[in-house]
Amino acid sequence: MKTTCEKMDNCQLALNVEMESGETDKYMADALEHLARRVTLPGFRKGKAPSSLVEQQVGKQAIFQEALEHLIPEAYEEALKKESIAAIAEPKVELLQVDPVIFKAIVPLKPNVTPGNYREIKLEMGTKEVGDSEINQVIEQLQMQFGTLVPVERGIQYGDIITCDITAKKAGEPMLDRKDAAYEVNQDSKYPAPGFAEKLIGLAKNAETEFTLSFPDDYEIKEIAGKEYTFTVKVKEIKEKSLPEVNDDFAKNAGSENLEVLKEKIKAGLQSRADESLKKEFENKLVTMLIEQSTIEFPPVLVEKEIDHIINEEARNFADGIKGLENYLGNAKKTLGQHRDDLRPSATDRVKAFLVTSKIGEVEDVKVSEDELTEAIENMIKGDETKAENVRALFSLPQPRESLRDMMIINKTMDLLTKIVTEKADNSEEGEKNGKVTA
Amino acid sequence: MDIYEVLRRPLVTEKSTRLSEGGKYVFEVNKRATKYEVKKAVEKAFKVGVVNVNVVYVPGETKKMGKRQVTSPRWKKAIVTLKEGDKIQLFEGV
Repeated sequence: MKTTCEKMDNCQLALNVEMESGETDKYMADALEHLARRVTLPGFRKGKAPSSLVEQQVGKQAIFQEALEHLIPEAYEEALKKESIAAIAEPKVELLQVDPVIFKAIVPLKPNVTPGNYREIKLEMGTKEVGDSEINQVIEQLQMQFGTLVPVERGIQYGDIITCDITAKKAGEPMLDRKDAAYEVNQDSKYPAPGFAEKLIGLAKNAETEFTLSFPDDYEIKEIAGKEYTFTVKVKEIKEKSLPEVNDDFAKNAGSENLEVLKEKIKAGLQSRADESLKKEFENKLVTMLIEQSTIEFPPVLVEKEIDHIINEEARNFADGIKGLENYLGNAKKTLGQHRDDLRPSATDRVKAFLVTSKIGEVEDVKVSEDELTEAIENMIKGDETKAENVRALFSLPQPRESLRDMMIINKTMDLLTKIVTEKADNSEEGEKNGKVTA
Repeated sequence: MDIYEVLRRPLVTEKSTRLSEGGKYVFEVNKRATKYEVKKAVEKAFKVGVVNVNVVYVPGETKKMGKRQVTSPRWKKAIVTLKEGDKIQLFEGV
């Protein structure tokens, strides 16, 4: 076997392997035997035909194909060992010549990441106070939720919910015919037609009315845009939304002891949500900066793998997996290939972010001990005791354990970076010290 | 009977392959051919010596085609034993 390597861009290596003719014989014989076990020839039971006959029947080409399936991976492994190359993923193999076999494998190598001077980055995390107006908004929503519908004997007003029969016709041709439809009389409602709600105002129970409305030319539903319809509405019931008063009783209904506590709870919830989103924004900004100042070289397979990962994740949302996703994309007039292209930029960013943070984690010597791992796993279990055994069993396997560890290292690195970057903004010397202590 | 009309085709099956290891080769032959004619034909066609010829009729198979029962014709099978050491490249044309 002769091998030559050639460095390529993006941490890839072109590995040329040239087999000598003697080396392939063993594989050919194996392949023939393998094929003979599967082939059915007339006059023979399956797998009983002698290999000399099989060879004539299926042809040398087919045997060769079969042989290559084993030959190339094994030859590739051997070549890697010979050239002492550490590959991180499957290579792209191209067969250049048969007899003797010459193939070229493009081997992805370890990514090459040089982080920039990240200790110089200054970035402040924004803060946000939750104000009263936001709390009141939540309370209003709650009021709506606990509100009841009370039948009233008066004319229709905005905000009422009515039960009515609606028909819409154009020159006798029906477009809409609903019995006992529940309709919220909303001034801005565009359904069933703009201006519909306005025509109902003031009508009493059991009243019947007829009016004509025309749809605007730019109406969303093309078939009826710009046309005029005659609506007949018969009001059957008028209900009013009655909102509960905001007091301690209301708070009790919402699951708190009194109004003060409820407000506190809402405030805490809003605050943590706001902090969370600020943190995310901050981290995104930080990562973008890190990527900008670093030189990152990585083989494109990583991006493809990330895309696979994203697609698998998306497919999980559909009942029938990847097929469901394909259908969904089909509705949006996209193929899976196009979808992959769409995902490529964000996947590239994700790969870069991962590479930079893990590299920095390495430089800063961020480690996650066994105890921390166990603690994290136990934390995961806390919420749901029923699955405790399953979760423990899963994470006692080496692979999930290691990937959890990787994830925790990334998180820890991120925390560390946050500390470095923000403290620098306050006081440059203190920050550096503290950063090291936490590491 | 013309000697070129005797041998119809070699039979390549599991059983015939097994027999060929013991120097016995199997052919489908003309229904009207005799053992002697088979011997002459094989000797001439493959340039080998024939020690013995056994002949059997293979009964035709009955099949139902719609309402009728149809029997495919029976045919003659010859098992030819060659002189020790002689061989026929039976599988050549297959």
